[in-house]
Amino acid sequence: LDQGVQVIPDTPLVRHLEATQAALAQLKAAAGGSVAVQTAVGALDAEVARLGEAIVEHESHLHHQRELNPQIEWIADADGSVIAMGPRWERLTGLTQAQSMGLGWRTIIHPDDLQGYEKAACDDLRRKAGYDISFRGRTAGGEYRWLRARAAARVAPDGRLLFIYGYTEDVHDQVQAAQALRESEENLRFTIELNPQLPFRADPDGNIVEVSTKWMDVVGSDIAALLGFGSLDFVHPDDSRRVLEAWARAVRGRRTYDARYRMRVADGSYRWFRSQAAPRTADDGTIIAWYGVAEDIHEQVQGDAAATEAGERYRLAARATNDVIYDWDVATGDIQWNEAMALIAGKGAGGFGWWFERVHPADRDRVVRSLDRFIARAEDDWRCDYRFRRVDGSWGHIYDRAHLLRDADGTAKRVIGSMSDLTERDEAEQKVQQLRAELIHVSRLSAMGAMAATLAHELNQPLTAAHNWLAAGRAMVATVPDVPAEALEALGEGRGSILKAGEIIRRIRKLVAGGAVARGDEELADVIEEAVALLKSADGGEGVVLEVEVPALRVSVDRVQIQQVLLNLLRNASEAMRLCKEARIRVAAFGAGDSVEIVVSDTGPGLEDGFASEPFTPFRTTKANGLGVGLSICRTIVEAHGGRIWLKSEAGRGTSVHFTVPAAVRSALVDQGPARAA
Amino acid sequence: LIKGLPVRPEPVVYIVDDDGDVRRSLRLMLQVSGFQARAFDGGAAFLGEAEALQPGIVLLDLRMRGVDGLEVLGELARRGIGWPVIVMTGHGEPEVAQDAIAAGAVAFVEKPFEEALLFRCLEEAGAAAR
Repeated sequence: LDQGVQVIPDTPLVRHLEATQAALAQLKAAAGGSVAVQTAVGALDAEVARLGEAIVEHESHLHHQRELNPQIEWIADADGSVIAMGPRWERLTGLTQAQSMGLGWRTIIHPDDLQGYEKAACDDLRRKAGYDISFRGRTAGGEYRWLRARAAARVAPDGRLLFIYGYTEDVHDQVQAAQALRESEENLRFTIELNPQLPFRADPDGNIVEVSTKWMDVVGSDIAALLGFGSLDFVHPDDSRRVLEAWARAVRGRRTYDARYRMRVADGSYRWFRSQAAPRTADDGTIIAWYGVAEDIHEQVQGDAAATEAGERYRLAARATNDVIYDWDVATGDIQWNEAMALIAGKGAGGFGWWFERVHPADRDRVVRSLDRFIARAEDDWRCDYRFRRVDGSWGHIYDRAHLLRDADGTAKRVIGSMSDLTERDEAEQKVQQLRAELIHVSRLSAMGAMAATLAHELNQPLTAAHNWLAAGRAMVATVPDVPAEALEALGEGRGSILKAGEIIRRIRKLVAGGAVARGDEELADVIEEAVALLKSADGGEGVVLEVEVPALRVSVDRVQIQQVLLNLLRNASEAMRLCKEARIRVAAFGAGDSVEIVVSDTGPGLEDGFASEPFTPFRTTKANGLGVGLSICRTIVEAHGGRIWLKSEAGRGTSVHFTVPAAVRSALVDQGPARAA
Repeated sequence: LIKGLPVRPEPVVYIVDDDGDVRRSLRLMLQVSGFQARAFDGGAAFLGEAEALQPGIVLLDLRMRGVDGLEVLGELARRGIGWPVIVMTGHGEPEVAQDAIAAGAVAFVEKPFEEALLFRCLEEAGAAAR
């Protein structure tokens, strides 16, 4: 459309005007001299000129309007043959007016749409209705674009179809947009349906006003039950208060909302959900609505919980063992250590090089060879012990166990292992061994001592008697006259020999008794605890419940000897209860003036009366394989400590052995030293 | 009494020992040596008659079945019977002897003993008692 240039459109009206003007010119020429005719012709000329201006003006308007209007108007007759077509048609389609008349215009319709167009158009026109059809049409450039044709029928009063007036317009862009919209709507629909998220909308006050229909399937209830604050009814009672508070906080504070809670679902079980919402605000800052989604995160929570639990369990286990646990990346040499490494080697544990530097130089070759074999071969488990420098500079005895993880191609990838520091265990073991060795030694000495004491007593009694008999006999014989001096001498020699025998026994006793008791101040509970440990280390006391109730008491004893007593008593008790259902040993102690009384009682069958009256006599025993010196040794040791030992036994109720040892604060009397009569 | 044997003026010696041989031989030896002696076969037997006896010297074995020597010593002290007590031991453990001394014994002798040692102890005890 050229601006400023008066274009006289070539329309039927304009052509009629031109014809009229031409006829008027002929009329003027033929009018001659008649004044009346000339006046009339002049008036007519002026009128035609005005008419012409008006027509041109009108047609120009029309033309401009057409040019500006994207719609191309057309007129068809009752058969559908186009008789007039708007001028933009040619520009749109490249078809001239002539080519477009009749059914010629239809050549631009896309072959796929032609049938549909004809059918729709015929149907509508038969009903004398207008139509509205979209179809693809070939444009001047050769591409197909969406066109829309709308038509209305002009019907004669007798019902006859006269003309069809219509508009065709290029709607390609709209159709594309609509299609895109439809597609995106479809996408959205799919997205929403396939998405586990459950949308909802709430008013500014937090009342839920709309929820996705998917909620119905999830909670097994109709939508109405979820509106307002109804959804809280589905939240687990333990969580609902928290959820409500969080929601209220978000709404009040205009902040985003994020809560995790359990919600009752259709099958009645509770599942974990996460709900998030954010406010949509207007320009003036007021909240228009809250948009939110809820999502089923049950598996995730369970997984997290399982992972957390597993992680926690690992951490606790790693801490509980005191073992160093490591993860060695073979390729890089990096090693991850657990906390225990800090206890052994201090802070700043490093990689393989760091570790290797701390392995005892004398063990390095062996360790490296062993590791090489382990990594090179198909074996997946490694065991090695070596010395390892600890943070205090001492060497720890490490027992290292590892497992190797390989790539698919068999290359060593990671080594996961644990280092156990056996040093303390070794030391404890050594201590028990040492205690046991000492005890065996003492036990032998004690046994010999007890036997010697027994021998001494058993032999000294008849020797004493023999000596007395001889002395009495000699005294009597001496009064008889004429007894040869040799006879008296012989009786005297016999008496002397007996005394010598007594002296020999005494010397043996002193020899095997190992001299005096080596007493020291000891904490009784420690002494007893070690004795219990010894019992257990000797596989004694199995299936026996041991109750030790010993207050803080210091005693003056030979630790090892008193442990020998305790061990003997504990062993006796535990052996006595071998066939008992309820086997319990109780060790108790209490202070009694200058001494401390210790009681070892059992729940065994008790002792026979015959034995119970003289339990400390040597070589008497209730045991099939016993020597009968155990209690005798106990008595010897206890008495050597200046204590006493006694026993209480009740058939069916158990036995308790009591003995006393001096308390650590010794009486002045004992400290005075030996006071022997000459 | 056997004729010709000395008679001593010392108080009665009460022998307490559960070994019959020792008890009887000791009584005979003391008697032939001029002592008045009575024997009891255990702590209980002696303590049962103690109050009825005239004051004397007790010759007490330490290790006896039933009531042992230390218990006899304790009981005598408890009853206020202050007779001298000489203890006899077949073991010779100094600790036990110390306990006996602490419990009131005046002396102890280790079995078997020379009669001279016993007589000296008895004389000293008798002198102390007087």
